[in-house]
Amino acid sequence: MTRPDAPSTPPPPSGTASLQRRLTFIHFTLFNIAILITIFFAWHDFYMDHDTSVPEPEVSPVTHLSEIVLRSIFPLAVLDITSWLLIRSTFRPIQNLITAAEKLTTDNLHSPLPVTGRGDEVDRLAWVLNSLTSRLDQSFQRIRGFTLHASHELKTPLTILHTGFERALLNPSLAEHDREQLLAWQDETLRLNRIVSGLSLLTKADAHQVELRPEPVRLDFLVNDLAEDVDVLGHADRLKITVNASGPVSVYADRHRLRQLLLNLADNAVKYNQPGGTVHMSASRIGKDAIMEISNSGPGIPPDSLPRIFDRFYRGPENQSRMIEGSGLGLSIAQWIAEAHGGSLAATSANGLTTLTLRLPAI
Amino acid sequence: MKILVVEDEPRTAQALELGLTECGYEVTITHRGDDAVELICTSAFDAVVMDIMLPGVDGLTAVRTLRQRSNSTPILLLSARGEVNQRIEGLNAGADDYVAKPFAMGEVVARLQALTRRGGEARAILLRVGDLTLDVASRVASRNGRQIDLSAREFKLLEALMRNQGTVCPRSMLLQEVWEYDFDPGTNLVDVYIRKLREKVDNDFDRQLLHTARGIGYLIRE
Repeated sequence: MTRPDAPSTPPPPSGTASLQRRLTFIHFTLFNIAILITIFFAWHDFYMDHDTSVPEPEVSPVTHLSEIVLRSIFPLAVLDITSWLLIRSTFRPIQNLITAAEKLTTDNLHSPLPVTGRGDEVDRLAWVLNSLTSRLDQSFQRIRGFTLHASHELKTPLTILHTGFERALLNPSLAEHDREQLLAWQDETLRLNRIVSGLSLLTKADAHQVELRPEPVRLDFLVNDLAEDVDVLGHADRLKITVNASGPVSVYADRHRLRQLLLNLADNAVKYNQPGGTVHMSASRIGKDAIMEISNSGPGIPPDSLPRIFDRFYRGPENQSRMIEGSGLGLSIAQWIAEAHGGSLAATSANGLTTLTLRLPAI
Repeated sequence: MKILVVEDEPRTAQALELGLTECGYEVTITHRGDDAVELICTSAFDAVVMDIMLPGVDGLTAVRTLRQRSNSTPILLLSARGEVNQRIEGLNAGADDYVAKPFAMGEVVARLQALTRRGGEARAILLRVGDLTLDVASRVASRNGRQIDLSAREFKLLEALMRNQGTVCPRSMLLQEVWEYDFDPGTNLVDVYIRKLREKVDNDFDRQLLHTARGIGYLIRE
């Protein structure tokens, strides 16, 4: 499943009012041609009706023509303006429909498009679109409901498996070979457990059912606190950890979720590193943004994979060969947490240095 | 020790009954929240393990009702993992502790033991396991009279283990008590910290105090 708002569709064609402009142009041209023809015949008839043998020196045909043209400019302008206003008012419901439809995402499919109540073609179009989106909305809700139910249903058998393995492992007379096998199976149930929990969290997040409990949080404290854990985690690989988070950087955030996000980034920085490598963490305030960066050395992320690392269950070709296990949902969850706080999470990777940048509104 | 298990899902109830009976508890099972309230009010249990989603009345309401009736039986709530809200709601309602589903049996047992102990004595300030002592007030750890230098995190970890001495502390419980992580982060954070702690506490001594319950967690005992 990709993110619902992923920019997979091409951008809309520019000049959305072109149909309106074309109609106005056609109207203008037709009016003007009609007026020109009228002028021509008026002028022509005038001279045809008069006796051409008797000259009328005070009014030349040219002066007469310009007088007719001058007199017809006013009605012409009134006609043009009226037609332009009419066309504009005809197109307004369509324009409103476009504006409303552009705001539709998978999150607000249930909010209907405006219907003017005139029962014209535009209303029928709105009605058809509304019934389409409500069917789509129902399908989305069914999928979410299904995923939620599925993850809930999986929890009971997982608990039973897990406690079963535990009880078996507590048996002191267990043969060493069997113990190893049981441990491997138990590891798998734990992993499955993480996947199920992550999936249920993201599904709830999609349906806006996860409540955040924001409070003022010192981001720099969290980064310094985390640095100690990173140091301990990276000890086996002799990673060198540096931190730059001296100034006060405060954000308004759900402390638990923010710590979950930071731990995920830190854990990745250790897992996708190289022996003797580095991890650099920083927290700073730039303008109205609180920025937390974590960079690590290592094989890096190829440019092709970079935009996709936040996708659910995405595993780049570079990771399929490495023996790194994860739920495949960590970065998706991290990105959701960032966005749920009105922030963003972005990644860059070049010259063997991968950097994840978290941006949150500072307070 | 008598434990009441309130769980409507029969297989989970069975798993709990099996696990707790093996640990020497006397287990009674009921499937409904309203029945549980009556049972707890009429017969004395040492502790209750209660699911939140229950027929009759839900777990939170049951806890609230019991506390309103001034019943202070320790209650351990079971609920879906990562539901921080439910956890806070549960504790606010008057529950004593919380274990996330899918749970590990070891965690339920460890928390039950902590709960039943908590009822009796006040939280000790000086913890002792063999020749290892931990002064929680002055934050000093020493073994055989020699002071051990611990980071704040290591101290908290050792304290959690020593408060539950003799019982296995599952990883998930340590993650919550020491790091306040309510979710399984999928890291070996606990294991690497235990390794560090072992270097400081056990390395220079013949007698090992920190033990591994493989696949479950860690424990400290003489």
